[in-house]
Amino acid sequence: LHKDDWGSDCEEVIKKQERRKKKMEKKKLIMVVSSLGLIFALFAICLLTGYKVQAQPQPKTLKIGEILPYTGPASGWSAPITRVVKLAFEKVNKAGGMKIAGETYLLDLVSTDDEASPEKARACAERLIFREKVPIILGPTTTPSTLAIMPLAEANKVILCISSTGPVKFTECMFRLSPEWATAQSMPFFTYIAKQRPTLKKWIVMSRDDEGGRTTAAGGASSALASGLQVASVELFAQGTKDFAPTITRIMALKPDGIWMEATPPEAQAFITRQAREMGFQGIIGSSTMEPSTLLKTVTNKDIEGMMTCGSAFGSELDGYKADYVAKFGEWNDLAGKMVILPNATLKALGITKSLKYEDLKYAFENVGPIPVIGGLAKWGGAVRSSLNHQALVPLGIYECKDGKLVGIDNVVPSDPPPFRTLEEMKLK
Amino acid sequence: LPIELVTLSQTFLNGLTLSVIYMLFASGFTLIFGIMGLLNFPHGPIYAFGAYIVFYVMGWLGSSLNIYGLSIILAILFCGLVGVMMERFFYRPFFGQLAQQVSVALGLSLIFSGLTLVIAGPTEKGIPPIISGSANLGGIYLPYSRLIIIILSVVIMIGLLLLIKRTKIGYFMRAVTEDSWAAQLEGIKLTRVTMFALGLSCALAGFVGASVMTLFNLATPYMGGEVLSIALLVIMIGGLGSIPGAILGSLILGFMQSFSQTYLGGGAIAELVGFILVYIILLVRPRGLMGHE
Repeated sequence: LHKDDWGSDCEEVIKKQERRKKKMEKKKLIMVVSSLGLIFALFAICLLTGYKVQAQPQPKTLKIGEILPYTGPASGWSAPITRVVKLAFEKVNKAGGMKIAGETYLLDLVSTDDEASPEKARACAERLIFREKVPIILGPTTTPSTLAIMPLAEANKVILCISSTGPVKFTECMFRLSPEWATAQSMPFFTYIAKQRPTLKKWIVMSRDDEGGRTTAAGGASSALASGLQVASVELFAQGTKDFAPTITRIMALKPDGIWMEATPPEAQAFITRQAREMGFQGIIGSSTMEPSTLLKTVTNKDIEGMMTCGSAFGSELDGYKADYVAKFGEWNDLAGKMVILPNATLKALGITKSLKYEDLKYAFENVGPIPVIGGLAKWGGAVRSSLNHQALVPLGIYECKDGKLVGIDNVVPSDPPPFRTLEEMKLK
Repeated sequence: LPIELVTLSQTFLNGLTLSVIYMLFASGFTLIFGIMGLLNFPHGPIYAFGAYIVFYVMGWLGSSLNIYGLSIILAILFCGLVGVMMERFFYRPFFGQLAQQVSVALGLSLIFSGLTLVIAGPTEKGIPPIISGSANLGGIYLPYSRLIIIILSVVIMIGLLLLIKRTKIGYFMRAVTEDSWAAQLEGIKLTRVTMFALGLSCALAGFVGASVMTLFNLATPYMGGEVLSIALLVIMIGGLGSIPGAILGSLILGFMQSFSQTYLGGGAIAELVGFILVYIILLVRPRGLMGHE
């Protein structure tokens, strides 16, 4: 704008613009100063709080991985296992953490869901090993998932605390922190049957048609044969089967005295029990794992009467643990009692390890000594069957369902599992 | 009766039960394929809705036969309504665009399965036995729950066939299945027919889901996927889009499964039977036993 063109009014405009410019510059200056002040203040706060953190050292966090089938066909097994671990870890964290190799750690359970699928299990293991950098993985609980992640754990030196039936042979990094499902439950059960109910001679063994199912079926059948009983047939069924009527029809034609379900998922147990009773089967129905009993009870109703199982050792110790568990989670599941070994052995090994390095952790697990569990002390065994003494031998109890409740009838001292024989070797398939 | 005869008769009854369940589910599934040319993937999750409705209604109102009857009606109504809504809001905007409709169907299936998982949780939901006991016919046991399923399914199947063969809407549906453009030229409102068909098909899925609760007593978030794969086998055997084909396919698959499981043993072999059968049929007759060119 020029004075010649616009006259005196233009001068006013120019002055106003200059005043505005000055004001803007002042504002800018204030903004810059206040921003710098704010940054400085934040910096000071960070420094001060940082100093405080340094002054009051907080316990470090140790991440422990977990791979379980939270969803999918074997999901019924996950809740009790993870709850047992959570209960134990919570107790440790409430007490301010635990001393591991001279430092105090809070325990952080990083749970992942493998949906009982080997591919998903591998993805879970990759996440836990490479991203979360966990030194220990609890799980998996299904054999195909365990087989899928075994090489990864071995190659990356991570301790694997499995609770699956298979594999039969252990690798160096692997510990089975659960009963040895194949014979640990069937052997005491069939020994009891042979002694106490000698008229029940002829048995059917049922299990899933997969690696773990075949292993447990073979274990169940060998236990029955070793107890002097007869195995009329081993019936394998596809995972997810709901209609067992054709299989039960086949079973009924063999006129057995009892049906023993090995590693059968809870929903399948319910279907088999109910459908067998509906189709006129009057013999004993037993299961290596009768859980979750609430579901089984709901679905089978009166048909659950007389069912037998091998659960955690019964007594006041179990009652006390059960009370804590129910107070926290609102329901009881017998698998929880058998799985107390999982957190207890892990915590005991962490308590004695020299460092969180693989070699030290492995040494700690191997030399952990007797592990307190429900019903006594668990110890390592399994070398005869699985080449390494990495199998927890857990005290168990035999139960019978009376008036809708599982009643303990005999406690069992664990013994080392016998050498493995396949179904084909026993000429049962 | 001699044990061989008992086993044979029992196997036949087991096969019949399986067949009628497959029949009802696959009929609704194939009906939609016939009319819309679409594999309606949400059919599986809707079947699971039926089962969960029984679980929740019986949980709230108690477990008795009357409540069970009420929950079946509610399942039919709810699932039918879901079908109508699906047609109106999800399929109709993509009318005539098959690729988009298939994508929508897959998306809806995932959404419905996810919803079930979120609302009901990942664990199985069980109900106490509604109908227990069995009739003993000379050593052949027929559980009352299976007997009721067989009777109900046969009645509903006859009703469905009568609806398609003898009513105006059935005539419209057949016309649309034959040639949808010619049907439109004749004045048939295509959207009304597809809406009715989808409602009917989903209501059938809901009914099957609710009625199998008396057999298995368990609702799981994945039950839809399992039965959907069987329905696919059934309609491939019978012929895509053909209801008589679905009936025939269900009978063949149901009896084959029952006999193979009883006489050959369960497990992987029995699972394979259906696939081997489909392979042979597709090899010999690529359009299925009763499918059109």
